[in-house]
Amino acid sequence: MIGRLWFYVRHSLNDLRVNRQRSFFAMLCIAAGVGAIVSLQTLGVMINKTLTGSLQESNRGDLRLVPNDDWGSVIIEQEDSMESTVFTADGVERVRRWFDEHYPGAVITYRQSLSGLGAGWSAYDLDRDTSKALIIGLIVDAQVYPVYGQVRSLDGGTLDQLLQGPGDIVLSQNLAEPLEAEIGDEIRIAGASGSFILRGIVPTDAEAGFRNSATGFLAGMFGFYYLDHSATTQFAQTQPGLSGELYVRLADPDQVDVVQRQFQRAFWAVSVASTSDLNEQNSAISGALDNLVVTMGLVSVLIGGIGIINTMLVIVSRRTTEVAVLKTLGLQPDEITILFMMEALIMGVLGSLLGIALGWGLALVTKGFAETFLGQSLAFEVAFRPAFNGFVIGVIITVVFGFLPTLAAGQIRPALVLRPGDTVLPKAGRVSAFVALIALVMALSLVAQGLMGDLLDGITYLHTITTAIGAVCGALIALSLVMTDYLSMRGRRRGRHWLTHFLGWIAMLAVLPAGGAVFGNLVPAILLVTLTGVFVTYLYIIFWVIVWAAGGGTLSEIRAGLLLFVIPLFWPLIPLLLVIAIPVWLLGRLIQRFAFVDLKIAMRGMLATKGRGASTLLALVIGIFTLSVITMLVDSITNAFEDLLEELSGGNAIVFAATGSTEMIDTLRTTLDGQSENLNGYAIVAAYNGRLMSYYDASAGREIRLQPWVAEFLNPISGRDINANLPDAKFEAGRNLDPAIDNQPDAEGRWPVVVQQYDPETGGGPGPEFGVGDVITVRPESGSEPLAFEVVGVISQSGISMEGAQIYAPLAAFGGYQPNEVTAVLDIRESELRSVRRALAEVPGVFMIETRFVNDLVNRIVDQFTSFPILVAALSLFVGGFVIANSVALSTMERRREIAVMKAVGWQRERVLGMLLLEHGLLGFIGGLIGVGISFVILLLVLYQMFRGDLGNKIPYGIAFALMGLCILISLVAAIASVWTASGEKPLNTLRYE
Amino acid sequence: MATENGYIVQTFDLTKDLQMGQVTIQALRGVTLNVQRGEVLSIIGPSGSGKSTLLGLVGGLDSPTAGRILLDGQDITALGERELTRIRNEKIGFVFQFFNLIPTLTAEENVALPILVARHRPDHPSRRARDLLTLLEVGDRLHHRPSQLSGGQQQRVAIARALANNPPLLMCDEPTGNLDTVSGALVMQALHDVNEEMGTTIIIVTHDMDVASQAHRVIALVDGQIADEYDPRSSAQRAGLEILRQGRHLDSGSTSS
Repeated sequence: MIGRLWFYVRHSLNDLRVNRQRSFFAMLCIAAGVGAIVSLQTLGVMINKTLTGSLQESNRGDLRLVPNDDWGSVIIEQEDSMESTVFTADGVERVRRWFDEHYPGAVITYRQSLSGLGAGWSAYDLDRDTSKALIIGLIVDAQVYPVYGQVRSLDGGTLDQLLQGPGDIVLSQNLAEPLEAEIGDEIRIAGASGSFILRGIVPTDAEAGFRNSATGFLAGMFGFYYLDHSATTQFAQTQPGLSGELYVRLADPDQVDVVQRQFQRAFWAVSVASTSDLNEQNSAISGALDNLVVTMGLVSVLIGGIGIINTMLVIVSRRTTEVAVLKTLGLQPDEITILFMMEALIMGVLGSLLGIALGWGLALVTKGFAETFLGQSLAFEVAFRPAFNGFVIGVIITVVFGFLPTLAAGQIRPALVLRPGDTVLPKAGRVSAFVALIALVMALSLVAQGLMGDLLDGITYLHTITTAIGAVCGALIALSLVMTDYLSMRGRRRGRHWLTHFLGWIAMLAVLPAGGAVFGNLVPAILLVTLTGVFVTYLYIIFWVIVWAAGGGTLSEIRAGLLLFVIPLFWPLIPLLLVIAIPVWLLGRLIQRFAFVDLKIAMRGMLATKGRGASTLLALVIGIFTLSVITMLVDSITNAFEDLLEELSGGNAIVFAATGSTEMIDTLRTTLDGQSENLNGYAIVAAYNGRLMSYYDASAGREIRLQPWVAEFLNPISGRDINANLPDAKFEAGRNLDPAIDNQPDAEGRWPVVVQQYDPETGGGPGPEFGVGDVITVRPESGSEPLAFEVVGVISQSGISMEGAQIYAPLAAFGGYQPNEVTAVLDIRESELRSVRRALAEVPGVFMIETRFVNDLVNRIVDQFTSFPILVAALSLFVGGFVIANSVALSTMERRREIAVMKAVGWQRERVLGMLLLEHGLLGFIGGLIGVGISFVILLLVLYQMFRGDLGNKIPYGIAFALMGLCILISLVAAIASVWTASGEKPLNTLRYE
Repeated sequence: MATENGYIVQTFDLTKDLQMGQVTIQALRGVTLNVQRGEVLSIIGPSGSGKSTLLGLVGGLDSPTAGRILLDGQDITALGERELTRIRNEKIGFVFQFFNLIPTLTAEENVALPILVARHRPDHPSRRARDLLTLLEVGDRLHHRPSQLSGGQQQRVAIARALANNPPLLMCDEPTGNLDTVSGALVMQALHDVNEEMGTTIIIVTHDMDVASQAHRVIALVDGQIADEYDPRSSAQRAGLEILRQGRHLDSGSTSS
């Protein structure tokens, strides 16, 4: 037995060594798949370690206290500058007292909140004339914060050393960089009366990502700064002690759960996040990420498996005579299968080992993607669990995918040895193929169950139900067998001893229900795998037909394949195939008829290996589709957002004021008038909350009776300067406001107003379904006199809208009323941005955001969320590239003779090379066309939903073409090594010895 | 188990139909044949006369459409694939025109191969392989792969492999068909030595009249039937020429299998 096993191993190793190029490419396929899974899982482990590293540091204390509502508790006040509820200074004191009384020794500190719109939101470097908005302010007690761990600057200084007075500030690296700030710079923070001196720069991940569970995401995204509590006095509108968060370090951290419960009973309006909560939350995130990366990695390994199938099919078909000889010499069919299986297994083992090394390398290279995704740096480590998982999965997938071809090897008839020219690979026997298919599904289900068990558990009680049904069925079968045996035993006088029967019954009653339960437990995974299998088979058939049609094949070539459609499972494909195949086939035939000879041969080469072409396409399309759908969607949405933002705002910058008042309007106007030479124009826009008093529907010719909720439903009306800087929106009806006629009311005292179209599906729009000519009467909050408006224009609905743009009227209409918010839309000359920025920085309580900054922000958010999916897509494509390389290597090996004949009849090497590259480039082109094409259709549907048919310039044709080019390039690069060698071979060598 | 009548191979009214697309071709039409233990038998005939088909049936590589085959007294007609494989391993050695050595194995490994897969194998397959290769005068090529050997050497390695399990029957399909005259003569000499020294029965399918004339008995197949049978030591040349003439006539004028 061992001797025979040794023979199998030696024989397989020999074959792998002698055919080293083919073996290498096959191993690369599996290595790439395993590499993908190992790298993704290693990243998962790194993320997991970060998540569960130091919970007390991440939570910024054993307990983190946050006001959770506005129910009027005396310790909580509504709304700071971020419009969220905060602790009052008294509330903070009460919390301190509670801890002093119940848990003495606890250290408590808080993060100061700021009052006033936009206070603390933006920073301006007076020395560099640079600014950045939407930043996070951490105004903390520098002597105490953080209560666990330490925040250190890049120079090594701690917060208490850096923030020694009310005029000191520390910036995060991701804030300092865009500001180009250097130590000693003078920094202004929106809402502060004075400026601060930059004392230090801390690494971004001091607060970003999961380092600070509360503000980490925003801090990583926008940047942050530290001020000491003593700096609060610089913010005139802010009461010291107003706090958004309290951090508590207990004298005995082990008591955290008890303290949490007791505190919660005493302060019911406060949310308490303990380290235990954080641990639970992080474990859930980590688990979900783990599932995601493993599932995505599994897809890559399955793509790699295609390479193994292709290789094993070629190995078996190339060695039919050898198999026949082995059978002639006495090897049984199952031994032949084992022999080939051993070869697949060795390839799987070596490929998986190679994949582990590749995976660790990839994890190191792609760490940046995960860091972008998390907004936090990760420590690289060589993780062994992913390596083990990758190895096991790689070997299982190799064995499973290699099984059917090796089964076919066992079926080769020995008589073939007498006619060595006949190398037709037999189909595996129907029964054995069916059994193999069942085994394949079960094996893959085991893998799926192991990897995605948690995902499947998401369906409540699914496993419990299927396991129970399996166990009951097993028990029923066991009972019926026991009964049958009992009755037959009673009917016989002689037979086995009753004890033998009894032991048999016990065994049946124990084993069958247990077996049923195990099978039942696997049922969801089996269903999942079966459905995936059906889906992949559908894709394979479609690609097979496309390859046939594109090659302009004849009907006789697919006659056998048509038999497949006897099975009802494949009927749904028929219309789709007809729609795709007929035009492609006509085109293929046309090309076959008129194309130059090299292309014809390339197309016929593709036709000769339709199955391999289809599986190669499958690998290629999965990768390119995932990549293209993400990149194209991202590009078109960010472009659309950029257009829309400028359209809706009517300028290239927006100024926000901390307070809404007529005085602020005057201040802003004075400042902006002073900058008139730097501005193309500006418009002040003030928002007035109001109540809809009456509504006259002009089309119905009657007053509409308003329900109370409709009256409340009206969005704030924007009063804006009516000049050239009006929103450049698309009008459904009526007109935009006109500076010439609309800065005064009409004869009946009504002011003109523009509203956004009502969307009956989403209920979007400023209020009821207003039309041109309708008259609405609104009473602003700050006055008793109502204002009448007549609708003169209706703007079309769009997917993205800016608040305040939904309904606007001339600012002059609101003469005596106090606005709730004040903003200004500026159209700044590009060259004068710095001057305007500086002028506005001098105005207290005001900050400016440029629309391009918002675009940058959107891009960064999109980048952050798409970084990981893009990584996964790129890895799929990477694996796909190896599958192509493998496929090309096999194809050129099979066609050595054909290539030699071509060269023998006078083809130059370059021409042979060109013809082979043409064939594989064609395959890449088809793959790109399908992958990018599907993405394109999806993109059109999404854009249509978002922009209602106004697709304009939002379709990224450039990216689509670039991705198709990439697909062709990958095919060509993957092909070049094999094709170069094959085209350079001496024809005589091949013709004589092949 | 030896048969009482001394025959190692007996076929009775053997028929084989081959399906070639839509057409059914009768490759063998009622061949009845007896082969004595220790005999060297040549089967000659034109292309498509059924020689290789007969060899395949007798060697257990294929199953007949009708008729019976007794091998060493055992009826192998209705045996399954597994049993036939075992019989091939133990009782038959094969030598092919294109040698059919496993290209990735060395000469020694190729010869040891049938021993390794045998049910009752000797303790030292490699030693047996080396002995056989030395006997066949390729003992200095033990560790060479087939691609490193000449045609004649490859065929002698193939003969050694065929003899590895010491089978009573050796079946050779055009053993010199792919060799030059000198190498062919060496191979034939080796086969005769094996027959004389080991008593192995040898059936040789060939086109070559010189090869056929070295057998104890020659049968001629035409159109799937035994057309003639003679002792080459008396009238081989004359009869052979006649057969070849008939073959040329049939090749140009009728369907053959």
